[in-house]
Amino acid sequence: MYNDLFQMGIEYINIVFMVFALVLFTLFSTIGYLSSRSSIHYRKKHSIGDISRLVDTPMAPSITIIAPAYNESLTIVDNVRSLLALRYAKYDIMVVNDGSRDDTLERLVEAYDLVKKPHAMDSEWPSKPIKGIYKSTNPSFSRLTVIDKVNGGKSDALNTGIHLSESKYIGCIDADCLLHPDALLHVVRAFFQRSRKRVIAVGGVLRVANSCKIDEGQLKEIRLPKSWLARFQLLEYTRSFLLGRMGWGRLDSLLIISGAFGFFDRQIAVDVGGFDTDTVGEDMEIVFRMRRHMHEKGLPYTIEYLPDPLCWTVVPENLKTLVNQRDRWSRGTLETLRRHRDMLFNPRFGRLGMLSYPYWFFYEWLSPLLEFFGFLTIILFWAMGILYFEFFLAITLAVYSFAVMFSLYAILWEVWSYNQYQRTKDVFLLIACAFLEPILFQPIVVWSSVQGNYKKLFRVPAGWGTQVRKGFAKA
Amino acid sequence: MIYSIHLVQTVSLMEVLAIKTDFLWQLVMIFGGLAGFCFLMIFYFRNRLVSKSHLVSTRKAALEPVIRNYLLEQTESASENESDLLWMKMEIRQLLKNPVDRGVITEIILEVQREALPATRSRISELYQHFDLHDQPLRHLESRKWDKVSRAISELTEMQVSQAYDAIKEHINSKNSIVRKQAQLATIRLKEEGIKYFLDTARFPISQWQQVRIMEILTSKSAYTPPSFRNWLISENQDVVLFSLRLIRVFKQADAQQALLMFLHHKSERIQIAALECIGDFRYVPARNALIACFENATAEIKIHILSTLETIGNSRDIPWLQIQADSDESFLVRSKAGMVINTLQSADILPGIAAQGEFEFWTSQPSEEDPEIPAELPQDAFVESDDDLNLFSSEPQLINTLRPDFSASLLTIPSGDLQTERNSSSFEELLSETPDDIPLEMWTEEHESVFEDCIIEELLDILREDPVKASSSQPDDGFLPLIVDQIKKPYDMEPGTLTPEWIRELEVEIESLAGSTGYLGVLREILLEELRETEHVLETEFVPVLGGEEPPEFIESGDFDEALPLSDLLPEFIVEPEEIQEARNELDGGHELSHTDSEIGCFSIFEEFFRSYDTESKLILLDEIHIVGGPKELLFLKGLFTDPDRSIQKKAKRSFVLLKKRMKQDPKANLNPPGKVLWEPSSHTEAEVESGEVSEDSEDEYFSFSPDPDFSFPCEDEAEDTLYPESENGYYRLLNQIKGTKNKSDV
Repeated sequence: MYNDLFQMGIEYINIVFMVFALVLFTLFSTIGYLSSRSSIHYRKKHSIGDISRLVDTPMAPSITIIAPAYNESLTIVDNVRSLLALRYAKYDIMVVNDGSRDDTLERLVEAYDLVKKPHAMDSEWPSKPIKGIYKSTNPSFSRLTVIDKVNGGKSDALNTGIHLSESKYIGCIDADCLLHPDALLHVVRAFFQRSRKRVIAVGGVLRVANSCKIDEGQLKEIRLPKSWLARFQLLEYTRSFLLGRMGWGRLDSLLIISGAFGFFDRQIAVDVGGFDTDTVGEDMEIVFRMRRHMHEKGLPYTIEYLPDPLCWTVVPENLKTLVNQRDRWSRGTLETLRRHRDMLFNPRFGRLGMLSYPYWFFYEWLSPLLEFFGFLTIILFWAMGILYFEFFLAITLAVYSFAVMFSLYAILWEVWSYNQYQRTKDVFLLIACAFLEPILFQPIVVWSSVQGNYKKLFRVPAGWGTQVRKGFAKA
Repeated sequence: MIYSIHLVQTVSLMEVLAIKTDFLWQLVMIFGGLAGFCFLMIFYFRNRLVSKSHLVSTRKAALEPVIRNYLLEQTESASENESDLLWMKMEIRQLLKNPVDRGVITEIILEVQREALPATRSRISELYQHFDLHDQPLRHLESRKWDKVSRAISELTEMQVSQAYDAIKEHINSKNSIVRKQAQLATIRLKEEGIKYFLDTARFPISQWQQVRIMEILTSKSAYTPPSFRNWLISENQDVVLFSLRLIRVFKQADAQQALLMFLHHKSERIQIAALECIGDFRYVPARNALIACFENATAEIKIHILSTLETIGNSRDIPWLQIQADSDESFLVRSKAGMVINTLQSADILPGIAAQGEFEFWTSQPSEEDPEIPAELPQDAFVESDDDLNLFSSEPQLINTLRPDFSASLLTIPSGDLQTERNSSSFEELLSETPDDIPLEMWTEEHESVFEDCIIEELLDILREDPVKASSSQPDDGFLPLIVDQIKKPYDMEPGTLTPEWIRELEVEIESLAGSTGYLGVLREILLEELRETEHVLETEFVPVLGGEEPPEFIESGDFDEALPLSDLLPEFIVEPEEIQEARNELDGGHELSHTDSEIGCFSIFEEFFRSYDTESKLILLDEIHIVGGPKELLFLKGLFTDPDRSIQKKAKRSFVLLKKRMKQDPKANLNPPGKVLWEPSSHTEAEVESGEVSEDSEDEYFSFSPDPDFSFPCEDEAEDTLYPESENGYYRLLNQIKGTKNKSDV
């Protein structure tokens, strides 16, 4: 009898896995379909007309780009130069030096003729003390403001910039990101194009700049990364940004905007109190809070998502850095989900509570843990000699073939929409990544997620970790 | 026991569903198949994209020079290049038959339109319509697909096809937002009253982005007189009201100030803000009290805007009130803004930081220990010579009001040091050597302006001095014609040895009947036939217009002009006067005055060769254009088409004939054959006149004039040995000499 119960238990575990997989297939297929339709619509809609005519329109809103910098001396001067070359009339840049231990500030002062200037600050605004505010003596760099402050983390640096900004919109980007010259025009269009809803935030796709040729802050040549680790991440970004987030954006249920390229309505950001300094997933958490804020006020709103390749960033090529990054992401996800757990299946929050939050809970947070658990279960059953091999093989192959198919679909979409990688060899390499990723890369992601959840659940001290900046390849 | 029963019951309830692995295997196959399909599609799409872009770029590289040359030719004097233009037009029309080329040409024209100056755009637009490229977008306006309609609207707007205005404005309230927005933009761009129509009829919300785009269109129009936008401040559509306020501000229509005060209490914050901005821009001082009155209940954002407006229209009497706000308002931003306004209104050094030290943190100019290595004394050029006087080591701390740059000022790319150097330069030569483009307008001194004025005056004088006759004169240059053999200034030498080698003379040829049984052609025909009978030689000459059919065309014999050119078939633009028809009829009926074309043996139209290779549609188009550039030879050519098997070509030829005649009558130059076009022409003077010396042999008239009655009184059989031609000279050459007026050897 106990044997029967044991067998039954195993069977039910199998059923759980199968149901989980089937729901995953259905969900991803639906998201893929919706994102395809959304992308086609977006391309047709915006292929008419020339956006660059509106660079200096009198109605253009002001935008402040806030770029937190910590130990960025290697790349900070070039990065700021590329930010200064954006094609838009009313914008300014705030580089927040968050207590760097290297010569980040010195390099900026020297490169841009900065001098310290006194400025008033609200003492009630919660952020670490500011040591100095620098402006350039060169009129060419009048857009640039450098804020030197005591180290408080990325969220704290962003909050400082939000407070000191006087613009209508703020953009939060990583200091090592490269923006397309017309990026701000696209962002403004996304903010302005709705008439019935207020657009509170705009997010965009992150493209992988590893091995791309950059010259004086301008992207000259797009190349596939040489490192396999970076290639896997490129494929992952393509899948999740181009397919995943576009689909969620279509449903108006997007719960995350990348911290490397996110723009917010400054008023709403200030109303919700800025970024949360107690979490490492601040980009996701502020979106949760802004959405909750608008829901509670009963105001019509939306978050827009741009599929155009407007922001290029360098991804980790080192395994340790990658694991740290994914570890942090999973901790941030758990922190945010826990903070807003009242949204789960709560109809008060509409699609947010009934669709987005459950997805994030089950498939973004729980899924890696289930995968790890499933892997352990397989080993255990095999050791015990009770592994139902046929089922195991069938479900593994089903999941694997689905993953490959979905990755190939993402590559197909990339070719059809932007065709950034034009060499045949690059396309073949990407296809090869689609076949290898579930076997080689996915276990790393799963392990990082398990590690991050372990640290969070068992309160192991961990912060941002160290980021090794390689910089862009020169043309 | 009970426990066991419960367990059994539980077990029986928890019957495990049989997992069908077959289902999973089927999924594996499905996903695998889809993966394979995606794999193939990747390369299919990729190859398609690459080949399409390659094709388009190749065709573009080939066609772009054609289009640009055509546009360039158009800019030159019309009468010089009409023939060139016509050939180019025909070439382009041929190309347009290919759909790929049509698309590429449309794209090229659109690109050229975008790059062109405003003065050139209308011509490009005419070209676009002339080639009927607007037909397809006009058809697409009726399409069900929104992207087709949107693209069509965009293209027609870009090319300024004003005839599409009525069709486009039907979509101005389309349910599809993209079509609606495109139609709105098009309506405003195509006609000046479009903005009025749009504001009157807009029923849907107008997004900010749409407003931005419309604003860009209106502000980029040259010599544009906007309507009075205050008329739309009473619109029911709130977005129309908001947009009107913004337009009032941009176009500086300061005649709606009373209405602006009303909008301060509007329920929409955006309208309130727009009204405040207008009040500030127009410096409407009477609004001061109203602003202060509505400050209390306003939101923080509105308060900031009120304070910004007060900064421009307020005065020192407002300072106490502002001080209260700076001290007591709950929002830091409002308090800070109030302090800024106080600073502005009062030239004294009352700063928010000093007034409320407990609240604000501010930094003195003394560097702290934690600061990075900043030199104790900065170099002098680190300081900006500005009103702010930001000396780092000043004893009095001076807070800057804002970190935001001044977006209204143009950014200079040179440091202040160089600016100072340029300001000191006063040498006239140095000023002359600098082009005004190098120096921003705001930096011009009086000397710059005087230099600029002098340059303008000089250019104007040059233009006035230019000889208008010379500039506009246009001698037709026929160097392109394929038939020119020689620029004839002297008697044409018909040496048979040079012109007609023996092997040509021995060739067999068929002589076909010539058109016209009357006149010079008829006589020549008889002579030639006679010679043939005598010498049993046949001649081939490429200079005699060969027309088909032995029988003269029925049209000419009967002289029934009405049948040839019924008035009912004439398009309005081609209607000719009845007198002109009568004239043409008279001529063709064999009036005593022969037309030039009847007599010009040895010339044929350059259009004929190309005409033969064209299809029917192109032939008809060519016939439409021929009367613009044709001359006497074309009349003959057109006559030859009166018997064309294709009825439509017949009709077109007759129509063109009449129009060409009309043009030749109006323009005397059209009747002249340009030098070199004709190999030879009969002399208008008799031999006797030449011998008597009344007419110079070298006179141009002798060789280029024309006589309707040539002298055929020469002896046909006379074959003197010492003629200009060899003994084997036959009567044909003698005839030609006679006609030309040159002396035969026998006459020498």
